[in-house]
Amino acid sequence: MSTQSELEQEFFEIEEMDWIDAILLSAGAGSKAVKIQFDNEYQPVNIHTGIIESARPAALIQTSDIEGGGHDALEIDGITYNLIEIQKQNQSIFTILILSKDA
Amino acid sequence: MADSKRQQLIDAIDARFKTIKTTNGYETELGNNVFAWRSSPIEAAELPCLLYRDTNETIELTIGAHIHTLTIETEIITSGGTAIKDIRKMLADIIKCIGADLTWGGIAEDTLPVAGEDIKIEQQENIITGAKLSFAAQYVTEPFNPYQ
Repeated sequence: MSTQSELEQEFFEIEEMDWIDAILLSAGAGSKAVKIQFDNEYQPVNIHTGIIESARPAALIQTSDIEGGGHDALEIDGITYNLIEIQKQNQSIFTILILSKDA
Repeated sequence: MADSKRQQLIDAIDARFKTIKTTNGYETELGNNVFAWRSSPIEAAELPCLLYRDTNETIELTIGAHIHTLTIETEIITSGGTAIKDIRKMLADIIKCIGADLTWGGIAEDTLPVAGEDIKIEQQENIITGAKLSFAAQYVTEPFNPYQ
């Protein structure tokens, strides 16, 4: 479990990074403008023997923005990413969203 | 310079795999991207693709001949919205392609199935699916003469 000082440090480190605009999409519940930090690092995939060029998109979002559930996708710079996994961080005010262009 | 029978066999397999196109009676266009022993990363634009490798070879000794059994591992890789049904079509196309002529133009004596279909899926920026299938081609040479 994180201590209060660790949480404060995490908050201020994240605050210093660039936040960009995105739209959180929810089936049947419309959309919502949110601020996120987006990461799309190169991460090749090795299925059996072949290595395939790929990336691992993920976003950091304030947990309060995704509370309530029912969220399906995140639109970033006109590209819609499906929410594959929502990684709520214990004691953190931020949540990591694992994204994919395919549902 | 003459090619060994193994090289001739691989050339025949490569040429045959490249015929997997709908215009040749197959269900997919897998033959558009065929790679042997591909070592560099595959770009998204090259998918779907068919990779193959000649891996293990066993040799049986008989009087006046060596009987070679060469294992060929094939792998289909697709990306994006390619449905699992399409992956199975591609696997079926490979099997059909192998079965078109089990002697590969008279180079081999026979071709045998080795391992069935092994499908795996990874999801990152896109869904990437891989399916593996192996077979073995048997060919005969004179003892210690890979060219004849």
